[in-house]
Parts: sequence; structure tokens; C-alpha cells
Amino acid sequence: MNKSQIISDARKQGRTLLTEIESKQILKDAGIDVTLIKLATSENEAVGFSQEIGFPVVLKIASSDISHKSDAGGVKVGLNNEQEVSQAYSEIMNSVKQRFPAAKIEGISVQNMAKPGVEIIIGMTKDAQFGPVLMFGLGGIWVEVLKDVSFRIVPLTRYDASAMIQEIRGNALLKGYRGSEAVSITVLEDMLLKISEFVEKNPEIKEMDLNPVFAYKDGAVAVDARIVLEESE
Amino acid sequence: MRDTMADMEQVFYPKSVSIIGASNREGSFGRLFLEGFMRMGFHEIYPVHPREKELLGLKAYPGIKEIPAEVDMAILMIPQGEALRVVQECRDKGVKCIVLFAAGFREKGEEGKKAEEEIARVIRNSNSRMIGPNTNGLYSPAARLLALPGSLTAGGLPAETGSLSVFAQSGSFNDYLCQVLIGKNIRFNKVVSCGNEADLSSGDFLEYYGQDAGTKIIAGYLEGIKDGRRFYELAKKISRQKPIIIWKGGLTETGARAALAHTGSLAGTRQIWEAMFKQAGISSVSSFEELTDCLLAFSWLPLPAGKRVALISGMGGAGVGTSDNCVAMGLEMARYSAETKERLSKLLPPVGTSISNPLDIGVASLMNPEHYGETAKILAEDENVDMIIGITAPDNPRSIKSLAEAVPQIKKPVVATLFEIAGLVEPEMKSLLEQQVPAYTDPKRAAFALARLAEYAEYRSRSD
Repeated sequence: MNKSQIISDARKQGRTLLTEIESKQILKDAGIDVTLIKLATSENEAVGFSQEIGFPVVLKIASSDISHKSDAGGVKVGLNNEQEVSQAYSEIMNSVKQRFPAAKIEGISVQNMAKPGVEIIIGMTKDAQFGPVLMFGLGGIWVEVLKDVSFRIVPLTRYDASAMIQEIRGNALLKGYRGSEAVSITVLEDMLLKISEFVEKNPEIKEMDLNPVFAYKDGAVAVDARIVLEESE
Repeated sequence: MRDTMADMEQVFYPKSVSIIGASNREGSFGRLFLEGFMRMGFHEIYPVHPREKELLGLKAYPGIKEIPAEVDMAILMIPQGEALRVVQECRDKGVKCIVLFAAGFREKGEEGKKAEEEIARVIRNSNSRMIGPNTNGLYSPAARLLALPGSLTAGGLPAETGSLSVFAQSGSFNDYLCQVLIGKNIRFNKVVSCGNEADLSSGDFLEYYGQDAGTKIIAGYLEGIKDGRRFYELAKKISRQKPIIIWKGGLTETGARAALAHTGSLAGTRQIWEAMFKQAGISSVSSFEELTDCLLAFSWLPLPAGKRVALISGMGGAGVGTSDNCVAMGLEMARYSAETKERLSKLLPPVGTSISNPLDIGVASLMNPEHYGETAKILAEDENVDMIIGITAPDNPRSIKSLAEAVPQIKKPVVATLFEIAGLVEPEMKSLLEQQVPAYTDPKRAAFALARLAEYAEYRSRSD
């Protein structure tokens, strides 16, 4: 499905929040690295996809009615073979049906489990004064508790991307520590610039979170993504 | 389609003015303005008064329509309730710029907002422009125009022009900025109080100052903004040619919003404005003192090639403490070349002097005040030094003089600091400012101003 189809489908269904699969598809088409993700509607399909995608995989419940998937028992990570995938599939379904019996379930998504990297967050929001704005920060407690994030107004120049990365207090973590490798700052700058361009070209996108993005020495991949559309006219 | 930039000529260079609400009553604003305009040397003044036929020697008229000449500007010193009627009369008369002082409009709730919108509509459908309502007036010395009540009360402002232009969204900000800076030997080009911006906005003034040849530096105090995106785009372009220094009030509003995505809830007012300033090349300050300190530096100093500062001090303690201030603000302590060190050690006596940065020439300058200026010249010739702070004491006026005399021979930014010893500091400070050497009572303030100047220089040197 391409971007316009995804958006018109969502609008037809009266929603502005796109699913993880939809959001990642749109981002992938825009040239952003995302984890390879497919929607399975049966246990067999899930096993099939996991073989295609390659182990280890992550299974997540796909339901627009459930926002905190792990709390609902809807996420299983580190699945290394078909049996684990099968078992995870049924465990997820049981758990979710028990806790959210009324939730509409599209299926269970299967994606490759990204190898660990430095967790970062990239977001976009629209400021009432200045329009679309990008945000950068380190994931986890850095953004949740310490609010150690930086902002720049779209469109960004490379200088802006570089400056906003340097500005965060925790930026030393990007340089590598205790055995983890330094990440490529250039790759992160490229990602910010691509997202800036993407945002400029797509005014119907109201908000966006790429959280987390795993950053490595030679790349960066969005492990989860959420896009919110503007209300339709 | 209004040509706002062309209309600005009428705002800042009116040839005739009508003061509506003029008076000869002692202590009234009506009288203050009339006297003030005459004292400033503005020629064509038409006072409007319901009953008087003559005020302070000038012919007075009962209404603007009775004035038998073109009226470029009307200053409205009238109650809020009469504003609509008088604005309509000014429009009918073909007044080009209406300056509406009355308060009690948008800033005062629903009724005031409606009253303001009515007036805004009249202006929109006319050939007149308006400053305000709730403006504190304007100052345009080239046109001999001074309509700032506080400054008028204080006895007026000079007719000399400078190259600093200002817009402010606070009432008396302009009055005090003008009086304080004129006392420090700065002169102004154009100053305007935006008021409620029912017609002309801070963005309009920014745009005009950006293209105005007489304006070389722009400063502003902002609280809110109507069209933030436009302001940002304008500032980005203009700051490539002229420095823009803004004090933004109201950054502590949270501005956090309910958002479906996490980012929205983190995007607070302060952070977004700070991003905007950085991207637009705007120098941001957060106090009156920081603003005036920066304006001295930006008005009189060349842009530095980098951020390496050399400190000369007559007192070791202050030098080291000041280095901390410099580094905290993003400056670097310059490292002298071997040649500079040699030259300095030849110049300065070995006892009581340390050849390092900060350079403590304490005892040396007491014995031989000329060392101050000589030292500054030697440091300025070192390519590792971009800027110099001379920490001086007003009880050694000859060393201050020596520094001031060296400044015209130095093509890099040099600022002085003086300890605030009552009775001694005032004449020395005045003298330095008259020689256009930025002077401060605390080296930390000097460090702040130079840090902002260096940041701006770095922004200008980037071509992106």
C-alpha cells in the first residue's frame, strides 16, 4: 500500500492515528530505515513471515484500540525459531483477549529484532507560532525523565541537524562507552534531514514519533514509529 | 493590496503632525506633547482642541477635518471611548499614520477586543496606517519626531541620529531604553512601540528595519507574536546583513500541549523560541542590562574572527574568576604565541606580573600606566587573540587612558571594565563611552556581550 492509500484508508475509518505498520511503510517509502514488518492474521502466517524476515523476531499485537502493548502482554521479543513464534502468537492472543476483550484486533505484527544500539528518539510536532518542528534526544529516561531533548524548526540545514545533536546533555553517549561503539553522527544527521524534507512535503502529517531509533556505527533504524494525521477538512 | 514598506515612510518621516487632545493644562500629556514637539524642532504642528483657538502660540482647531493642510500623522491622546470616531475622522482626512495611545482594547477582555477589531476594520479599508492601540509612541530623530511620553517628561531626546532601530511590545520599554543608552553615547535611528498591533506589527517593523539603509542594528522586546513563521523567515534573511538582538519575555509559559505523540508534550515555549533564535541568527538576551550591554558591543566593535579572548587585569583574582565567566559563556581563553610572550616579558617587569592569560599586570600598571595600552597592542597583534577585555580600576585613570588611546590602533574588539567606586567611576565610564569603547562595571558583563558578539560573528561566517 502506498502513502495516499494508507492515508485515505485511515480517513475512511475516521482515524488520525496510523498503525505501526502503516507508519513504518510510509517512512520506508520516504527513505528512512525501519525494521522490516509484516502483519500476520494467523499463527501459520506469523511463522511464515518470521522465516522470511529472519530470526530473531519480535511479535506485537496489532490493534488501534490498544496503545500500551507491552502492558497488555501484547509484545514478545527475542523469538529465535518457529516454535517460539507459534507459542508467542497464542500467548499474545490469549493475554490481549483477556485484558481487552472488546478491542478490535487486526492481527499480530512480525518484525525483525534490531540488534541493540544506542536508543534515540526523533519526533515532529507542529508549533502554533513557527510550524513543524523536529525533536531529537536519547531514548528511555533521558527523554522520559530528564527531558534532555533539542528542537529545530523545519526545514533543517545540516548545520542545524549537527547542532541539535551536539546540544543534548547526554551526547557523550553517542560517542560510545563501556563496550558500546560510537554511533555515526553523519547517519543521524542524514536521518534528521530526510525527516525534515519528508515533513515539508507532507503537510497532512500533524505529529510523529520515531521512538526508539537504534543507532549504530554504520546506520540507524526506527524500531517503532507513530504518525498522527491532521484532522481532515 | 497595501504596500506596507512604502507606508513606513509616513510612519517615520511625517512632515506634518496633528496632536489630537493637545492642551495647555499644566501637567497634562496634551501639553507635554505639544511642548515636546516644538522643543524637538518639528515644524508643522496642528493641535486639535474642542474649544481653544490657540495653544502655546500655535493655531488650534476643533477637529482634524478643520485643518486646512495635509496631515501626515495624527497623535491621538484621547479616551478609549472616542477612539473609533476620531480614527474615522483621521481616515476621512487622509491621515497617513495614526498613533493611537489609548489603552483598554484587546488587552482588556472581550469588549476591548471587539472595539479594537472595529478600529482595525476601519484601518484595513482605508489608506491610513495605525500604530497601536495601546502604543507608547515613537521616536524618529531624523524627522525631529519624538512621541515617547516618558522621554518627553524627562526633557526630551537628542535630534542626532544613530544606526540603532528598535521595536518593543512593552509600554515604557522604549522610553527607558532610549534614555539609558543615550546616556551611554548611543544614538537611535528609529524607535517604535508596537502596542496591540491592530494594524502594523512587530514583523512589519522588522521587515522595514531590515531594508532601511539608516538602520544597521535592530533590537526588540517581544512578548507575543502574530505571525511567527513570517518573523522567523524575515529574521533569517535580515540577520545575514544586520545584527538582531531580541529580549523575549514570556518564555516561562509552558506552551505544552495535549498531544497524541510524545514530542508535542515536550515542545515547550522556551525551547522552541531558543531554536528559532539560533536558526535565525538572532542574539537573545534575558534582561535590560544584557540588552544594553550587547548594544554597546554590537554598535562599536568589529566582528571578531573567533572566540578567543585575552584578559588584561591589574588584579590577579578578578582575572582568574573572569576566565571562568568567559569559558562558561562559550568563549575560549587565548593562548599567546611564543613571540607575544617574549614581547610581553620584555615590556613588563618580572615582579608582580605573570605572562599568561589572564595577564596580571597589577604592579606594573601602577608604576607605569602606559603598560596597559602597550600590552593591549601586543596582544592584539597575536593572531591567536580575537578579543580583549581590559579590567581596570578608576583610581588609576592613566592606565584607563592608555587603554583607550590604544583602541583606535587595534582592529579587534576591545572592551573595558571598571570597578564601581562611587565618585571615581562616573567620569571614567563617561569618557570611555564617549570614545566608543564599550565599558562595564563587571567583567562578567563584558564576557557576556563578547560571547554574543562572537556567536553572531560565527553565524555570519557560515554560508548555509
